[in-house]
Amino acid sequence: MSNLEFTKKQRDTLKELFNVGIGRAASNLSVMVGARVELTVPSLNVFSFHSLGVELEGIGLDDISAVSQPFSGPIAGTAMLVFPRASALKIVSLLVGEESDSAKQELKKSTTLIEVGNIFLNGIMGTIGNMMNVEIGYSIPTFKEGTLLEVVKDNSKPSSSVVFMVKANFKVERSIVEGDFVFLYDGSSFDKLFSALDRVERLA
Amino acid sequence: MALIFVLDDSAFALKATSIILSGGGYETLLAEDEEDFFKALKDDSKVPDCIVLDLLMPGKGGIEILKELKESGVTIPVVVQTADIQKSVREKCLEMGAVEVVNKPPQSKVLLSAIKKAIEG
Repeated sequence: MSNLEFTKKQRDTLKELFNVGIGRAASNLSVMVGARVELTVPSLNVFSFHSLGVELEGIGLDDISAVSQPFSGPIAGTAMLVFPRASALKIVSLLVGEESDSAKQELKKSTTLIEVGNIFLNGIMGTIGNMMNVEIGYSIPTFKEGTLLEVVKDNSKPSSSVVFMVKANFKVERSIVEGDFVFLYDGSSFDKLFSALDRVERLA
Repeated sequence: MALIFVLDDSAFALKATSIILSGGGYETLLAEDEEDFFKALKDDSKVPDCIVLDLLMPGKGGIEILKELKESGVTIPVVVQTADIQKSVREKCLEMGAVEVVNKPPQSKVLLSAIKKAIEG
């Protein structure tokens, strides 16, 4: 399929897969921070790589800390855990119990956040892999600070020309921690995604 | 006191895991990379009773290390501790000789129960 239009059924299935996956990830995060994690329903968008700037302009994530984890298989792409910088510092404080402005914590921030990202993102993608009955291969997660546009551009392939983005927001109860899950699907392998979705729909 | 050897490339995960193991009454040995891990395994004065192994790491990675341990005749029981929750990965680890597979984030009851199972057989 080259027009990259999801049918209503495919969109519903994808939304449900991400919903369940993000639920699992939130449960993992909740265990780590010892507080309830509230979620929003994921949004799905398909747009061209060249309109990334316009699409992300209104989101307002200009100062973020992000963990990105590329993955391969029938749903190849990059999953990202994105925190506003203040939330990133807060979550590290919650986990390692140190003052947020210490230099030591700045250093630890990426190590801790990478592990948080690894657990969070594997929770989502692993759940989806299990539900689709496909195996997903993971690469080592990386850490980057900047704007959402910079991070997304770093993780997109201009050659694939199409970006399929799933985004969901979460908040940790009783703290200022909030963040987003952003998933970028490698636009060059949509056929594999559609086949996997069809299989899930047949099983449903 | 039983000695548990933990290999994980994340300092944060190592710390969290060692806190749980110490709380469970175990002595710990920690390695952040495969080089330190294999070097320490050659030390006959400190033979671990169980290995806790991460999967996704730079270099060889946990599956390859499981394979290497098996091929080199290491009989120390291995518990895999990973963020990867895929059933296929769990099955692969068990096929490769892991005694148990537990998921991250580390949870005291689950990890200690897996270690106990690994040590007591």
